[in-house]
Amino acid sequence: MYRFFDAVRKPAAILATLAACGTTWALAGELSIRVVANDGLPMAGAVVEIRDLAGQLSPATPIDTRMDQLDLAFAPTVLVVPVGSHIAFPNSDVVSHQVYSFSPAKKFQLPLYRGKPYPPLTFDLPGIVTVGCNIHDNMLGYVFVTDAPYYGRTTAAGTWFIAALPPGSYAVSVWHPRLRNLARPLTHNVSVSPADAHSEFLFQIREPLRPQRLTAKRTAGDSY
Amino acid sequence: MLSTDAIARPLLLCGLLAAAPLAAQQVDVTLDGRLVSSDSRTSFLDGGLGKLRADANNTGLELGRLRFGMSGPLGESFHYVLDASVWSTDDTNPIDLTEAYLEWRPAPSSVWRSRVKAGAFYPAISLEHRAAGWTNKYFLNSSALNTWIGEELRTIGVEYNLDWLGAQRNSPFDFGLTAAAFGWNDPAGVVVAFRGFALHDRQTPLFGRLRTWTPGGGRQQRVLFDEIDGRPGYHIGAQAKYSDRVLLRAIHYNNRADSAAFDAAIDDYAWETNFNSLGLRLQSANDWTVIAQWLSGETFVGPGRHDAWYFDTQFLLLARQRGKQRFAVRYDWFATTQVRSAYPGLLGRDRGNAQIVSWTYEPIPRLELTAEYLQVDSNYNRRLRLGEIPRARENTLQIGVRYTFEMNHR
Repeated sequence: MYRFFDAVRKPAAILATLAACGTTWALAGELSIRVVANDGLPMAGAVVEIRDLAGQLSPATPIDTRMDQLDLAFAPTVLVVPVGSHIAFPNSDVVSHQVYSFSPAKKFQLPLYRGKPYPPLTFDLPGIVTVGCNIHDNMLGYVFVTDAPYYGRTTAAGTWFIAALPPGSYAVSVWHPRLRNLARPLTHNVSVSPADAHSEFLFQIREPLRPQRLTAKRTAGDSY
Repeated sequence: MLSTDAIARPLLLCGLLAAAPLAAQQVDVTLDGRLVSSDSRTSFLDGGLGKLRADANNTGLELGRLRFGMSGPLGESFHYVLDASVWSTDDTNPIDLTEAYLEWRPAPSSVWRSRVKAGAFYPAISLEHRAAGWTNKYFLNSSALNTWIGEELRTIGVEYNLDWLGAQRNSPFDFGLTAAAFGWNDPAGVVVAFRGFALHDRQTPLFGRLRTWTPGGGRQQRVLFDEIDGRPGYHIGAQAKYSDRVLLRAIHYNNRADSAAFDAAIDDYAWETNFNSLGLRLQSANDWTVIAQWLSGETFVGPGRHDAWYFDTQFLLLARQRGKQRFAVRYDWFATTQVRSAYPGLLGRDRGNAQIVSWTYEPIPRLELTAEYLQVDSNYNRRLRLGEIPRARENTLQIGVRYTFEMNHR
C-alpha cells in the first residue's frame, strides 16, 4: 500500500546541530516534513496532515478563507481547510464563471456570476473537493477538507514543519494534485518520543507524477 | 430568397435580443486595422483567382474587422452569444452576424455533462481560432483549412455535446462526443470547387455573400447559408484531452444536399458536400504550441452529380509565447481537383502551399500589434481563363493593430 514512497526517519543524532537548539523541548518536539518527487525535486504546495493515532486530538479550528478566480484560474488552485471552514468564491475576472463541484464531500454550484454575489460556503465533510468552472473546462481547483488536528502545505523547498508536536504516535499524510491517485493521500505512521527534540521525515514519491497543468490563462480562455 | 430561413433566423435572433437585457451582459467591441502591402493576383473578392483578401490594388491602410460581440447568461443554465462584424464597405450588409446561438449548459452533477447549442455557430474544427468572435489567436491570415470553414461552413441548427469530465474525477483525460443536425448550408462547396482554397480572415456573414470567381464568367455574389432541398445535414465528432496539454479532435460533416436541387433565387444548386477532418494541438510547459489539422472532402453538383471535386488540405503550426510576445510559423498545403464535369473543356486543378511567419506583441491587455508575412504559391489551371499564367506566387506583408474595448454590465 505504501510502495510509492519511503518515509525515512532520520535519527536525531544526525541532526545533532539542530537538536542542540531544541533540547529544552523535552515534551513537545519539532517535526519537519520534506516531500521530494521522483525526479529528486522538492514538491511545493503538497498538503500535509498529521493525525494522532490515539484519536485524542480534535480537528483543527475552522477558518474563513477564499478561493478567488483570476485570469481564468482558481487562486489559489489548492486550499487546505479544517472541517467546518467557510470558503468564499469571489470572481475577480471580467468574464463570468459558473463554479461547481460534484465531489461527494461537497456538491454545489454557483450560477454564472462575476464579483461576489454569493455568501461563503461551509465545508463540513472531510475529503477532496474538486472544483471546476462549467464555462471554462480547463479551470481546475481543489479544496482539501481535513479533520486532522495539524495540517499545512509545503513551501517552495518542499518542506513543512510543526514546532511543538506532543510525544505520541501519528499518521502523516501527504497529498498533491500531481499524484497519480488523487483520491487518497500517501500516509505513513511515525512516533515522536519525549527524547526527540527534532525529527525529520522525508517523503520520496517514487511514482512518476502527472504533468503539471499549464498556466490556466493560456488555455482556459478558449472560446472555441 | 424569402424562404423559411429568411423568417426563422431573424425570429431566433429577435428572441435572443429580447431576452438579453434581462441578464448580466458582456459586450466587446474590437477594432482591427491593417497596413497592407501585397503583390497578389486580383483577389477572389474582386472576381480574380488570387488567394488573398487584399491584392496589389488595395494595399495601404485597410479595415481588418470591426467586431461587436455580446454574450451573457439567461437564467441558471442558458447563455447566449451574438457576434456581428463589419469586414468591408462593399459588403451586402454594412454589419452582419457571423454567429448567434443559445447554449444550454447546466452545471454538471456527475462526470457526464450534456450541452445543447441552438442557432448559428461554428462546428468545433479550428484549433487556431481560440479567441472570442472566432478570432485566430496566432495569425492575421488563417490556414487554408480554417479559412474555408469561415467562408462556407456554419452549423445553423442544433448541436448536442456529451462530455466526460475526467479532470473532475481524478483522471488526466477528458472526452467529448458531438452530434449536430443543421439546415441552410446547402451551397457549401461551391467556393472551394470553383475558386479553390484561399488564405485570409474574412468570415462569411450569416446574411451576407461571398464574392467568388465562377467558370460561367466573372465574379458572382454567392449565398452560402441557404436551404435549397429541405434535407437536413449532420456532423458528428469526438474529442479527447490529456490534461490541458494534448487535444485531439475528429469530425465527419455531410450536408446531405440533393445535388439536383436548384434555387433560382440565389442562382445556385445544392452542393452535396462531405468531409472528414482531424486536428491535434500540443502545448508544452515552456510555452510552445503545435497545431496540426487535416481535412479531406468531396463535393458534387448537378443532376446525377454531374460535376465532382475532391479537396484536401492540411497545415502544421508552431508557436511560442515569450512574455508579451508571440512568434508563430505555419506551413499550409492545399489541393482541389475536379474529377468530373458535364461540360466539355478543362477540369479544374489547383495545387498550392503557403508559408507564414508572424510576430505579435501585446504591450497592454487587449491591445495586439502584429507583423506578418505570408507567401502563397499555387498552380491553378483556371487562371488561363483570365488570361493569366496558372502558376502564381503571391506575397503579403501586414501590420495589424487590434484593440478590444470591453464593456461589462452587472
